[in-house]
Amino acid sequence: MLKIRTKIIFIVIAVLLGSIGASTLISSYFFTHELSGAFQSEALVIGQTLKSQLDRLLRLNIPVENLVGFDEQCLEIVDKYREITYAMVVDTGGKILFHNDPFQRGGHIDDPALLKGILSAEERIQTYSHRGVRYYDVMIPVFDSGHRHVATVRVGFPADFISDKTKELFLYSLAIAAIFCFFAIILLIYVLSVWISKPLTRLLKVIQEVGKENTEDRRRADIFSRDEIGLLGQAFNEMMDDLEEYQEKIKSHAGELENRVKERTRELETAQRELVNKAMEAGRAQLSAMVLHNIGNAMTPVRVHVESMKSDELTRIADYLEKSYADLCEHGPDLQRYVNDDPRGKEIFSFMGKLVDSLKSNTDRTKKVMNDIEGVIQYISDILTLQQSYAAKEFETKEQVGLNRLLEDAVKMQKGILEKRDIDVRMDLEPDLPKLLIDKSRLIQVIINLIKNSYEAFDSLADQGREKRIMLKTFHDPDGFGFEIADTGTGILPEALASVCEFGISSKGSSGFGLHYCKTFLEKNKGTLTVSSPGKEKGTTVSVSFEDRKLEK
Amino acid sequence: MNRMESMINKIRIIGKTIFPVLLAGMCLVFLSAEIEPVFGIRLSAQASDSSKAKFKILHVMSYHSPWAWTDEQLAGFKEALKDLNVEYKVFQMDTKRKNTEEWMKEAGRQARDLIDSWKPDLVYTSDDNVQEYVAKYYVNTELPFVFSAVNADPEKYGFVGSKNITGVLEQEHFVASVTLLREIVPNVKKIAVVLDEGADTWDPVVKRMKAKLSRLPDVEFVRWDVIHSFDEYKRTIEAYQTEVDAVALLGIFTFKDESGRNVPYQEVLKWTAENSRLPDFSFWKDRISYGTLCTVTVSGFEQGMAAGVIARGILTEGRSPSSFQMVPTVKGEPVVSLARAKRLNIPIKTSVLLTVEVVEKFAWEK
Repeated sequence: MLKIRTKIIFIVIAVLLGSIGASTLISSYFFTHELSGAFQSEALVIGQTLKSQLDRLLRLNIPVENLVGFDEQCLEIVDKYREITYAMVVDTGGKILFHNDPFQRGGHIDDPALLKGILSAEERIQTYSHRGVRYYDVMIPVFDSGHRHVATVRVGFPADFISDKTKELFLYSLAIAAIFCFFAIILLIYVLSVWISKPLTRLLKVIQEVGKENTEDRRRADIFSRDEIGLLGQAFNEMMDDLEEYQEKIKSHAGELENRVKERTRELETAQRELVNKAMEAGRAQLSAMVLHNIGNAMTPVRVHVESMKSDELTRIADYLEKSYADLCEHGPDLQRYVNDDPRGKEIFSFMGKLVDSLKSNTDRTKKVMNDIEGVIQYISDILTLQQSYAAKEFETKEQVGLNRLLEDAVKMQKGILEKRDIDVRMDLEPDLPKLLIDKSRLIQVIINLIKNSYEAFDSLADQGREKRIMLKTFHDPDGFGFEIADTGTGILPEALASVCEFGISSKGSSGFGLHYCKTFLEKNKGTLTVSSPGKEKGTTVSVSFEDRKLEK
Repeated sequence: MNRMESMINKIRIIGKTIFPVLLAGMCLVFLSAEIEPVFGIRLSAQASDSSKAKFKILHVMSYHSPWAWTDEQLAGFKEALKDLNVEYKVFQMDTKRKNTEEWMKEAGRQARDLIDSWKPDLVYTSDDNVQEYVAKYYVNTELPFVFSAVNADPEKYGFVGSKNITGVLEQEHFVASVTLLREIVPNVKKIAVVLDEGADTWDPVVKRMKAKLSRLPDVEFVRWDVIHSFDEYKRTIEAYQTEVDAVALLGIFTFKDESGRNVPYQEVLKWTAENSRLPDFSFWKDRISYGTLCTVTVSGFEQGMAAGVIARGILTEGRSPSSFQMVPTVKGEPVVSLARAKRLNIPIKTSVLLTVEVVEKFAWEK
């Protein structure tokens, strides 16, 4: 990721190079143009200097051809101005009178264009080529004291000189530009560092520290410039002030909220406890109802027997026996005759025999009732023992529990209700189940609750003639062990399955706490409860399983 | 790390402190450099009060004005003091045109009276006569004297060692004159020197010339002839035609003709120009228009300028006149007679013609 400073430097370098490149090219063009003009002007001035010297000499009335040593002045010009290649004085016939190169003296100019310039009475600048080299040639006419055109001063320099100068300028400009760029970039880096990078870095560092540490310290950006960065820093600091103010407020509100949550939590815990207690009480009530129901069922035949025992038969037998005895006693003295001969005596005697048989039969029947009552009492005693063994305690007490036994007891406890509802209960118990460390009283309440749900599922069954069956089975596989309670009851709609265990959800108009409590209790004990149903009127299966690691053999 | 940061902070603080000072200093230097030439303001507290003071300078010239020699000297003197507030007064002794002893004494007395009455801050004297009749009366007084164009030895006037008189000597540019002659006529090797009877005048000149002969190794001065009459002069010049390559015409003022009349030097020079085929030279410019081929003459302007520089030092810097050495001027003024060159059929190189003062015609042709 490129830093801002690097980006700016790249941009500036690009702009600088573009500007310098364009500037150099344009400058080179104009420089060439101006330099050409400047050199031509300079050559003209130099030629005029030479001409003025000639003028001074000619004013001495010395004919130009009689001057001696003017080659030295020509040579001085060439020596002094290195751009000047040649300087000469030519007479109007094209003869070279003086030349910076003495060997050229006496020579003739043959080029018609040059001769035309030489003969011209006006200053001229023209170009010509000599031996492949192009020259700027300055021609200045010289007049004697009689204003006669007697000679022409010629001064020349090569055109390449200008291009060489242009190249020099170009290279010089590039070098200067490179140096300027270098120092500009150094300066830019420094300035960006001082004005932008460092303030931003400081700001960023403060932001990161604020983000990381969540500290209580008052962290502020130390940026004091008055530019945009300074304003940013100032805005950040103001924002931090605001943030701290808001944090204080939030903290205050959070504390308040926390107190409220604690209060609500306490209330919920209380409500939860109350619900659990209610559930426990409901379980106990349910269990008691089942016990009472069972006792009631057991007591019904006893009552019938007792009622039957309470009938007048024995009284009548006793009355008959008493009357018979009194009659016999009346006939005591002739008792023998009376029983043997008297029809009445005979009948009484026979009647007494029948009464004895009835009494004996009644005694047998009573014995049988007593035996039945004894059985009922034993049954009630068993039921009560069973109920006591699963009586829920105020606090959870875990112990080793066999699931098979629990299922059997739960069915036993609800046997009366199940039989009354004409429900076929089937059990398929896995013989080698591990024991489970759990509060058995609460677990049996769960099972009873699940069985209750199952048999209640038949109450709203549309087809009451359908077979009512509850299948309880235990299982043990590599994933764990548990039990399953399946019924052929009313079933659950698929869309209702997901929320069937949620608190407050009930299809029976109850509190909806039962299944929620079962699930919560099982999960608390590292178990799972799943409810499945193929659909409405297709029965429901509740499966409870515990993980292998919870197995305790 | 902390020490490093501390050091960097210190450097930063020092930089922040020094940078504005440096910047301010640079601005001040820039402003002073820019303002001074434009507005004449000096930011340094060196404003010269002496440049505003008014000085009274009396110039006493031995000769007269207008005359190029005296006028050029005064012009040079004034040039050296041009930015000072000076009130000038000029006294002409006119001893060239009135060369009797009585007049010179009278002129000297008048000049001295003027000095005493006008009370100048400095007296500028030119040429020898004023030294003899005026300046030497003020040796070692409080009044500063500055002279120019003095040919005689300053010892003669008692100037050497004096506390108040100094100046510029007029000594001929001997070597430069011979060099110019050889530029015009390169093959000159033997030269004869002509002198008249004015021994007082020429002895110092000859002495100085001989002292500088070593600087002209290619030239031999074969004759040093003191000539007494014009006839003798003519004979001598004719004899020189085959004996020497050139003639140095120094003393030509005291020649007498057959009737005993003193022959003016102009006439002597004219005869020479018309009869001698030898190139000649001298040390005085006025002879060129009368036919002498060339000279590197003492420049009156340079003499005056050098005297002015000394006067400026005395007036504005408070320097003592004795702190200035009495030396001749170095820069001469080359002059060539083109008319004589033509007569001698000597082509002069354009390089010479362009660097000398050219006298195109003889004086008698004008």
